[in-house]
Amino acid sequence: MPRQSATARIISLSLVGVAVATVLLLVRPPDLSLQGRRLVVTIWHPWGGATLETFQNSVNVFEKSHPDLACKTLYVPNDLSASQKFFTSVIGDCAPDVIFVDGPQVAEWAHRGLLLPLDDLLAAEGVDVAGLKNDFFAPCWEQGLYRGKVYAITYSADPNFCFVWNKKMIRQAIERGEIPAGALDVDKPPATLAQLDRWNALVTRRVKTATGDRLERIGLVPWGVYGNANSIFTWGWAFGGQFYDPATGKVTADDPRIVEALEWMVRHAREYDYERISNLASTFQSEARNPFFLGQQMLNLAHMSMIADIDRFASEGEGKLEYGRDYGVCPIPQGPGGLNAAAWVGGWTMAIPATITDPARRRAALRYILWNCRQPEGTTLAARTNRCFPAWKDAPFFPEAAKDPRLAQFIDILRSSRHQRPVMPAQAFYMDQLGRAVDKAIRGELTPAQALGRASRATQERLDEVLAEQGGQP
Amino acid sequence: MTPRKERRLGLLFISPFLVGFAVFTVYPVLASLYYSFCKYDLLRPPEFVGLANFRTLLSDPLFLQGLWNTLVYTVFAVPVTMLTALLLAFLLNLKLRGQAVYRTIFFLPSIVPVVASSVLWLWLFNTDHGLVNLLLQPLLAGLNGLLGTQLTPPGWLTNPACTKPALILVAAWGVGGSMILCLAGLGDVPRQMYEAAELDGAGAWKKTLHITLPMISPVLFFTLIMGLIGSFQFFAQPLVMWPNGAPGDSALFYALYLFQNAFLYLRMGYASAQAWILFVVIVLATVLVFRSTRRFVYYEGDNV
Repeated sequence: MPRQSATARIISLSLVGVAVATVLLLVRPPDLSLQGRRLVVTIWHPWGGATLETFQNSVNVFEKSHPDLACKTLYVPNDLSASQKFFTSVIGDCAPDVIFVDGPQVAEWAHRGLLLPLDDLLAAEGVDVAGLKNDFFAPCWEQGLYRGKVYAITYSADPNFCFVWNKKMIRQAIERGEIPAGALDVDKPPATLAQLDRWNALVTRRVKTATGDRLERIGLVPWGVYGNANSIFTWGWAFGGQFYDPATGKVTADDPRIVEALEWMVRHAREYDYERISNLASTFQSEARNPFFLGQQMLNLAHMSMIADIDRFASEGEGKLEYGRDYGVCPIPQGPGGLNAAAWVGGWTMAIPATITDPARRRAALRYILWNCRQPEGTTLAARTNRCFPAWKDAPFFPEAAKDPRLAQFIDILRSSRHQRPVMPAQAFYMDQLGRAVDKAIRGELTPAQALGRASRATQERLDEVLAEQGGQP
Repeated sequence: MTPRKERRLGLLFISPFLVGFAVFTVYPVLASLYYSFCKYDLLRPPEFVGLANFRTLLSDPLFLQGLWNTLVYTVFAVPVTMLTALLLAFLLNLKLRGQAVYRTIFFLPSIVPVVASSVLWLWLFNTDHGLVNLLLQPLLAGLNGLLGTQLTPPGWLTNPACTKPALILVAAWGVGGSMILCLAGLGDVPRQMYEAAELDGAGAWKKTLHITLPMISPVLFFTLIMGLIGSFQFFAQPLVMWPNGAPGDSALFYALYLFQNAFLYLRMGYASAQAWILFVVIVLATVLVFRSTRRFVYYEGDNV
């Protein structure tokens, strides 16, 4: 290779320098603080896809109405097992000002000293904590408390669940002679679990194959309600059970009424064959291929986001489902625990990490939280972001949503809900144990009493272990 | 340049690696050894508890289940994948038209990202509509007709007895890497050896047994060791295929349970203890394999 002259070398080095400087200038983040005129609130949120757009829109609206604040948002996944980024940020003292926390996580994070108790901050801002409590639906407020202190404020209320049935597909099955005419009235949904069992038997269809038979269509799968753990919560409460006694700190998954609920699930698994149901369920897809739209699963429990899915994916052509004519939404069939006993609320909360010590940043974070959780504009935009309700009782979103008779049913559930998943610092472990217990029972490996007894003991052990660890600042 | 100066410059040039290695590998490894004797939740300083983590592990049914699942998987997956790779290499070593195309086709699965291939296999393994059972259906129907049995297609994803065989099948599908190694080994066997053997009247079977296999034995040994280590650390596929856990914890592998303890339940000390047990198991297995197979491995060079 010919030797470069000194001039050529200087020119090429300068060019590299200019290129590097240009790149550095281009990638430099914009100055959100507008040279110190605004305080920047950092927010870590779990929203992606289309939800991100509506979330970002709400952030822009917030900034417009709060000219002294700017928001820096970052998507950080949080699915109960991927919160390492947040944990390390707290340890490394570079946590965001606002963090979204899933309801069941609050107690554990509070116990481990990750979250700031908000009571004093609220009082300093002139917010009456006792009054605030009454502003929220009880289970939504409860999930943000730990040992009597407020650690998080609920951002979205997620009432679970409504019963949905596909009238159109049932009618077609009757016309084809697959369901005896007159055996069920499509306009009168099952009101009790006994009636639900009968409907399940009628809509389920087996077909012959070269080596036996398989299920082509099923009704409601009791353990298919958003996973095993959420299913046993739903039916356990429907049977009148209690999963945890906060007064004594006792885990009570083996409550006889929960055992009874699992026994009912196991009977279903035996009747229709757990494996055959699993085989059919493993073909289920989402969005436009939702098994409920296609009639693969004619009865189900629905989360309120399903309403938006129906409007989006089953709104035209042959697959169109029209509310009232083609499908219905109603309260879930009544269990032995009484009407609406099964209703429970989940949802996201917002909190401030414990390591935020600057009073100005704390105040700014709280203003952002309260705007989202307890102010007309914020709560409406938040509800649109995540297709759930505000947890604030007087939110103007409710009269707007109640115009839709389907959402009105979910509002009723929210109003009558008495439960949220147990508020205790071994919640993730508990859900795993419950999921395992359901799996072992419906496959016949253990009896419901054995499986739930085991889950109860293991969780109690884990809970005692966690409680014995010194809570406090990391 | 004096040797001393040369050494210094050499160290200077590899210092980015040395620093990275010390900070991101040596320190975490040693730290995890210390944490395995501690109660540690990531958020508070570790608290020394002696052998408590190890004692708890021995009575933890999920730990034992994970260990069992991993052992079963290793015992079957390693020989199956090695044999598949070797057979494919033999076939693809035949002088055929389009040899390179066939080699590419069989190598392709090994470069498919693990999440994509796992999702693909979820469909292939579907009991009622999957391609695997679609192929099995006529076979089983024929057998049922002949023998009067009542065999049904396996529930690959839903029956605890079938989940591990399913994963072994997936492993056999992705043997492209080992297959390429075997092919390279086959290409290195000197032709003269075969010619000499042919002169002595050796047939194809004898040539394979007494020339090919001994000559490629270092390659086979390498794939065996790497396969063994990889199987003990098996993690991603079961996580993608059963995000909520496989039926009966049948696909709860060791590394998966370790991950859950560390990041889901924040039992970092407990997970570190698990990691060290896994390390010891892998070392023991590797030493055992080294010892037991040394006499079957032939190296041409005499300085090995």
